[in-house]
Amino acid sequence: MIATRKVSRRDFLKIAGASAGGLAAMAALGSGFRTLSAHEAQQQQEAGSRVVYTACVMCPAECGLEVHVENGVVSRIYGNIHVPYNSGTVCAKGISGLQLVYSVNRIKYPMIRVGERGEGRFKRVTWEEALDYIATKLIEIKQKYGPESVIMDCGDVTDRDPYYYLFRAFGTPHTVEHGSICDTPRRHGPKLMFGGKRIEPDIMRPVLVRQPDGSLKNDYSYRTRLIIYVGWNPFTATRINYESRGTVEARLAGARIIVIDPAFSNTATKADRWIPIRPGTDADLFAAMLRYILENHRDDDPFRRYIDWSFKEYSQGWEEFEAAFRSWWDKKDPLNGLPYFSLEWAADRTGIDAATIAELAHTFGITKPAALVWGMNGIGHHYNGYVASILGTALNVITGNMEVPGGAIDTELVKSSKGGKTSGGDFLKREVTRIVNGREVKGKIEELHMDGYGDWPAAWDDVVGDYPRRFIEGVTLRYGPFRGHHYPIKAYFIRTGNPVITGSNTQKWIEALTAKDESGNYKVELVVYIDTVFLETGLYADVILPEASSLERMSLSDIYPVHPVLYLRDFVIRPLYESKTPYEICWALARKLYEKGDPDIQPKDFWEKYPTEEDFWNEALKVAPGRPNTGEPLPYPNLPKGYKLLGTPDSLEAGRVQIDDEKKEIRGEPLTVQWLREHHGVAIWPMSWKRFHGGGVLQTDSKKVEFVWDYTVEKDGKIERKGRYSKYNKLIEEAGETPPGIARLGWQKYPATFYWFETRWNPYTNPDYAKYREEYPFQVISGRVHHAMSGTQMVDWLGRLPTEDLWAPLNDERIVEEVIIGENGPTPTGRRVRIPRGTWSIGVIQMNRADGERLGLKTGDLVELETPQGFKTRGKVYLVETIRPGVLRVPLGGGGRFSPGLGKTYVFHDITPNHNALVDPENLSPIMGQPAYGDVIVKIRKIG
Amino acid sequence: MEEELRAREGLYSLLRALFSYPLTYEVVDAIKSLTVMPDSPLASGLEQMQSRLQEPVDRGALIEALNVEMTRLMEGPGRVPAPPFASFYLHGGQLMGPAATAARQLYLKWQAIPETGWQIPADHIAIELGFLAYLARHACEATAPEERIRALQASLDFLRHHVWNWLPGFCQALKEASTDPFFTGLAEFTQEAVRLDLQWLEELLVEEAHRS
Repeated sequence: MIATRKVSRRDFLKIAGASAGGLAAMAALGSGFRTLSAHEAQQQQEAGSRVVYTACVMCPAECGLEVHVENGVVSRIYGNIHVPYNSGTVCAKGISGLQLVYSVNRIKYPMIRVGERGEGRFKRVTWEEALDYIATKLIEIKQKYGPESVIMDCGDVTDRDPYYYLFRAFGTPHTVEHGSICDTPRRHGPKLMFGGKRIEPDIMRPVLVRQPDGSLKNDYSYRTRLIIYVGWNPFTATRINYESRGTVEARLAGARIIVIDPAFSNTATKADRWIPIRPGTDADLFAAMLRYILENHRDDDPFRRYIDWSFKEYSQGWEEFEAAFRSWWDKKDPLNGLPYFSLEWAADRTGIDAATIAELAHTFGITKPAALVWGMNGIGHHYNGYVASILGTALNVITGNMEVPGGAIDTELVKSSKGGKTSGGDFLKREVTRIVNGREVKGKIEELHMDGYGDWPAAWDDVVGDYPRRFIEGVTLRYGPFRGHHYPIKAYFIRTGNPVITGSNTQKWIEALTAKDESGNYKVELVVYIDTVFLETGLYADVILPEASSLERMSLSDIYPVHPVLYLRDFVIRPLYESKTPYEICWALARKLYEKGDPDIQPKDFWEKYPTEEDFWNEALKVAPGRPNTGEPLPYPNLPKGYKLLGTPDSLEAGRVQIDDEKKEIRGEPLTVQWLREHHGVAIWPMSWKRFHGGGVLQTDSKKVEFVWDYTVEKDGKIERKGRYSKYNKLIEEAGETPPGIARLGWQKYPATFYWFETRWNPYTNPDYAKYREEYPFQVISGRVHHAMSGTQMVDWLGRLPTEDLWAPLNDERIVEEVIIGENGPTPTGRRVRIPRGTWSIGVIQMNRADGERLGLKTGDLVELETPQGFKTRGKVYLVETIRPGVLRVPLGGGGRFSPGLGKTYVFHDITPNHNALVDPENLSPIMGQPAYGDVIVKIRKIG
Repeated sequence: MEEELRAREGLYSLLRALFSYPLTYEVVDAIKSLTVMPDSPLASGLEQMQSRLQEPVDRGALIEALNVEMTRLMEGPGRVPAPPFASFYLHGGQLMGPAATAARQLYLKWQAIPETGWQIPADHIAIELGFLAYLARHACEATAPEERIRALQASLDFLRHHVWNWLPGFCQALKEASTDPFFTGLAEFTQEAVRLDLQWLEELLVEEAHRS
């Protein structure tokens, strides 16, 4: 305690200072206040209260919000009733946004590292100092190694455009987002076959639909008869708000819901049936379903008419695909000796009995409309998820479920366009020169890309999981004009992401970020961490920049709606502390680079072109909705069918448009930030279905659904290669070199149609791993907790809420010392905090009760998990009946959290499991390099 | 009285500057120049600060070291040992609670606004101390006795209801989290100075009440 002593009033001056004059002189230091007029003070009071329509970012679902501000403080958060995506609803995550904005742990000021990376020692600096440091380093790196040595990783929120714009202007092709460490295998089928990404059930309601009388009305009806969710848990996973509401509503309206998942998820609680599949066998199940449908379909039997042949009107290559698929039927699996894709074969591998698989295939084939939907923690996380994704897409197409009311919709193809020139894509087309093997070579900036022209030519979303290797070894391009060009990675910007915990193996990332050269300098010379929250990756940064929270910045949202809907993220409050918006950060850094003579950064591209933040986002809105006037009912029957729509909904509706027949465009009045503000923050254009017909919204070369991905067409007497894989195969053929990922599969190039390969680290399906079955008897999968990736676990309200046996209040009462970054790293403060028993949820290891009892374990026992490679993590087991025996499930990003910025979650880092501590860093899935998070086997040992 | 009022303004201006990042040569020099009686309650804190400033190291290096330590203690990143916000201590660890809202409303009632705007929560230690300096100046400059009393009464109320209810906890956290005498001394000096002023104001205003 600080000692105190009583003093009389008369003694105050004598005690306070020997010289009253001396103290009085210190008034020159100032009060830090200025005086307002009465009118100004009144204005300030009034300005402190308002209602703002905006978009959430507490998770990547980014729901529309209505936020109330009182006295300058955000007081209440509601769902925006005008945004049909969430239709007025808001979840616990969303309303917890208050606790993140006002968290004591948020990053408040720019910082520069003063200790070693990982120690977490920083000095607060001004923005001027931070930007000067970064710009100086960037220019040095550019001059010495080229701008391609810089990576800008933009995390998982959609308002990344200013960063892409700046760094592409700077000259690097490496502008990355989180998707590449999320679920790229899951998206592969739709991408190959539609040019899309994401198949979801048609259950977003309401949808705005043109009526026969020409009017527009909201349609609230659910037509879906069946939804099969495979490894997809929309009730807990982030991303698709309407699927939580819509699944319940669809079921009430008569739909059947089937959940296929090793664990009884929250979604399964609302399902008619839960089928606990063995992890990593989704492709096996889909293959067996497809074989069953092909073998049992009868055109003349209404009870077995599974295939809707009308799909052939808008597709091509089915015959080749089917032939390639059937070619496996006579082969026998070396592990079980059964014919591939037969019911018995699938039963042996999936652990689902043959009759159930047959029933599932029959039910899916016969029930229309239906949707087969698969997810990230399942198919997205397995080495062979690509195969499952392709098969799942094919199943939706041939059964006639794509683009029918109540069926399945590839939301990527039908949502509104946004971004346009603000993505900075034009900068990537600039020509640059490099000396490669002593020869001067010219090419485009984009052709310097380390994945697209390096080890992963098909990785259209980049390969973040492989960054640690490249940080240490550098990049050698294999394809394109710069083949043979070698460059190091020297600068890594990570913004709203945390790859140390989520970007493949944790220890591998730490090694890469702390690796030094022979001179003792860090190999990656500059690491910049930009975020609102302070997570583990920030501990390894040289510079930390505070980004404004989601309630303090502007951008646009449109998360996988079933028709064009676009809504505004607006300033609810001004950025707190010294945080800046992405636009402000990028423009300030651009000015600094320009001042220091970077020739690629010019005023005409930045502050002269978009002098205000609103100007920038208005540019991004110019391309909205950017989809064709197509489908049934036609969105705008009075406007030309098939033409691209641009402009506000009301101008298109009123016919205030210009029609460009040459470009086939209909241009209404441009959508702007101001228009959105005047319309509850949201623009909604009409819904239609059957948008694949006649080209419609498909983004393939043929404008049809493609079952072949490398084919030729004759045009003007010339033969042209087409299909999504043809571009990569041409590169391979020109270079005469196979990418390492697919070389491991024994392939020379990417197959032209259906292919099959096994997942890895699965002793039940891959003969190479069968030897581990006895010693490593558990498969480890991950599940979601209700936090935004790894970023919001300091939020108290969310910390208390359990999540489906993964995030449970298993804490004993603890009196813990708070820990802060001390002079020598994380250090107890001495201040004690009581965390009562059962009040704080922690990440746990979900385990089947029978497995646990067989091993003598009970709920709460501390165990260690170890892989064949010796990777380990520890945590408390949570015994339940609701997970398949032989499977352990842990929360991704939910344990082993060692950033003191995480509050109470940090307290339990030593008894909570870090899933990514177990991931094989070399097990990157072969097509796109996504870490195979779901292919992990372990043995288990009780340690407490 | 005039002298005392001017001294109060100087004292709070100094305290505000000591909690405003970064520490500058001007502030450090002000601390160096300050002298108190040996038996003053402020002596211990001041001596600790001055001992640190008298270390035979390069002046620039000293300021750098102090600012690095100040960053760790109060600025970030992430969890800091001594969050300099009233709400943290009064509202369960969350910022921008009722303490910040009430402070903002009071500043506007006095037609005052922090030069940093509202970006820094109104209950930050430097802003609250700055407001006391602002009120002290108001009291100095008041020509009418009742206006002076109003400013002094406002100072007392602000100290009682907005500062003293969390300042000791904050100073304790600061003192315990650092081994740097500048900051352990700063914690003691601040708490004692505010306590003395609170006491002084209470006695003064009681006397004024009796007089009137």
